[in-house]
Amino acid sequence: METIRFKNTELQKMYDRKVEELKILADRPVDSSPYLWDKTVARYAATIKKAQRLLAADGMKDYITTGMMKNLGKFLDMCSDAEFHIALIGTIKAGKSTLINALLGYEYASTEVTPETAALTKFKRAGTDYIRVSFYTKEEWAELWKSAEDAGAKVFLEEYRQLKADDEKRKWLDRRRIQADCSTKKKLVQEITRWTSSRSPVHYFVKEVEVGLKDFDLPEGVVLVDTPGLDDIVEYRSNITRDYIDRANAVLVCVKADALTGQEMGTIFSVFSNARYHPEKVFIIATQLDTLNRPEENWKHQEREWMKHLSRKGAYGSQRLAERNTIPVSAYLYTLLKGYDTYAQDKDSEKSWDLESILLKLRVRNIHENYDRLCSFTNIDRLKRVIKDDIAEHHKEKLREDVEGRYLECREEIQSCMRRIREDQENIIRASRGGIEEIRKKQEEFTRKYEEAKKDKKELEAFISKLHRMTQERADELERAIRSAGR
Amino acid sequence: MDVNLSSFSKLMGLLKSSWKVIGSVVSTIAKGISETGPVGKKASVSDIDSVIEAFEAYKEEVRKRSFYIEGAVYEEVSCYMEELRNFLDGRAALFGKYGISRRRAMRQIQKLLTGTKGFIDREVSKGMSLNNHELRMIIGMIPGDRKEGCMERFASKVYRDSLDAYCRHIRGILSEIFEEIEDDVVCVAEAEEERTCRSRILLENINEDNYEGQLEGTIAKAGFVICSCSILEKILEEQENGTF
Repeated sequence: METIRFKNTELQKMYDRKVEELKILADRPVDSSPYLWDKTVARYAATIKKAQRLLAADGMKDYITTGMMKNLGKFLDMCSDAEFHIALIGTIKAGKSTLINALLGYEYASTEVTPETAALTKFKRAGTDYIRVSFYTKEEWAELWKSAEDAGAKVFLEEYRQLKADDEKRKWLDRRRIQADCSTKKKLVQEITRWTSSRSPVHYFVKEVEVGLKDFDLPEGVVLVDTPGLDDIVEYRSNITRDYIDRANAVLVCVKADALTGQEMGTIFSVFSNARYHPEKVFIIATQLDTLNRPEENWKHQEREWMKHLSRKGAYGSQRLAERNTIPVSAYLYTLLKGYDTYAQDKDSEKSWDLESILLKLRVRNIHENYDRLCSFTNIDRLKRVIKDDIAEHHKEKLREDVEGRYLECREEIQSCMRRIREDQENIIRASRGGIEEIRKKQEEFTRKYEEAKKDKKELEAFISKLHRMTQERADELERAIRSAGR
Repeated sequence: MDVNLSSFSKLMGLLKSSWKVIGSVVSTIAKGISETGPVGKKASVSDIDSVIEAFEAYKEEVRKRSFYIEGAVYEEVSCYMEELRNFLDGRAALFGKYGISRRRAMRQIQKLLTGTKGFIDREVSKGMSLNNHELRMIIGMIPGDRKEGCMERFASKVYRDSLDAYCRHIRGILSEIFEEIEDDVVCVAEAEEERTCRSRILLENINEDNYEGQLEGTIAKAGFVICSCSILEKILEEQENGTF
């Protein structure tokens, strides 16, 4: 960096001070917290954040276009938006909530018999325990209601009437998002129940629930999503799940580990139909392994049967993938084992009885001696490893590649812009030092360049307009042609 | 820019003839489903198995056909991209002058070309799925002509809806490409106009009477901007060298 000396001492002082301030601004650390999910990405993001800060500083900002700042902003959004969504779908009474609780390490999801999930419920890591609830708009509700009427969803309409939900409709539709911070896990559970329980009238109008958790025993960026399921009689709601299957990075389909029923097969194949070309992202979770009479033996037999269906076309299409992506679990046993110390003293507690009956089936007398073996039998830790290694790491890698490509574009854009600005400013300094004659010449040159730029701008605008027309025409032609294939 | 007529008419020919083939595929599945007994909530695994088999056969036939359609559209879009590239290259001097990069637009083009493959098949697969109420209702009907008619209408609708979605997809990506180019070009043109205007004004303020007084101030302003550029370039370099 060339040091400039001025005769005017006041100007020199002011110049030096401003340069110093600029250096301090450049050295000041940036907030990298949204990008910490990956070291490389955090480095790229910090660079662009610093660049963004300098480009917005006095002296520089007048030379920078809003388009360039927009691109840098988009890049930073991309860096911070590192979420890996894992959708959970379950057939009726498949133990989806029990599995969620085992993965989260606390009974956040209700395990009552009545289905509780009518909205998407997302669990993610956060600095505090909170719940964020969003509601349907009037338009969305009108669509949902029509969908319920069209389907003749008698139970839905009857329960809606019995709960006098219509009296509350006005209160919730179009309402802004609500957030409540919770000081204890118990309060958080109460809040979740309040908004999602099928016994409360408000649950009809809840569109999405986001639960932030301080203790989140899954990798950074993972979002666990409890879905309303594909067989919701109200198509509007089942479509929410359907669209989510498409977007999610992985789908865990919970099916009871005993003999497959036709309905379960229907659900499984519906998931595969919606995840065409990506069967590898579907994981069939055979739940409630502990409910089988002889869990280990019986599952081996069941697995052989399941594989016949799951390895066929329309599902995994391969025996290897079917075997790899089918994971039998015993989520309830895992929860019982993890919480053993909390109820072990009370031999008459519900949990003690439940544990004992499972241990009998597994031919285990001494829990302490067999604790590790039992934990391993539940397979929950294996499932957590799959989530970490196969799902989160794999998608991190892909996202990292995208970020890298985009960073190179941003860098090129900044560098090219800096070159042009520097060239102009060097010309100004040279001309200024060359005397009034040189200044006039340079001024004329800038006027010429300015006129040229105006002309070029017009030409570029005409180019854009022609390009727009051209693109539009081609899109129309293609549309006409494609539609003719369906007539 | 003229449309490449030979490739376009090939596309039109292929697309028009495809309905005949799809029509017979639709009739086959409708016939097959109409002969099966009602498959409802309490259906057995083998009932579901046979229904899924019929769906898969339909999807497979549509996939084969849509493979050609997508291939032809892909070719057509590639042709357009080539023309677009030539169109952009025709202004290479102007683009080069302002350092307008085609990189982002090219990335979008790549996205278009990869995103179109298998699109129709994916949509058909989503439509012909047991989570669809209408389809569940049809397979739950007793065998006969009514069931065949319902299934025929449903399978045709699934295919047509998939084509509609495909159209929206192609149109969406074409307009994304346009917006990317528009953003780049318009911004650069505006920036150039603005920058030259500023530099001119900076020098305009200096004349024979105030030369001595204004000289150092002008140099200080320009020097400060250069200093900002240097700091910024250093930050980018440090990132590249891993010293950041």
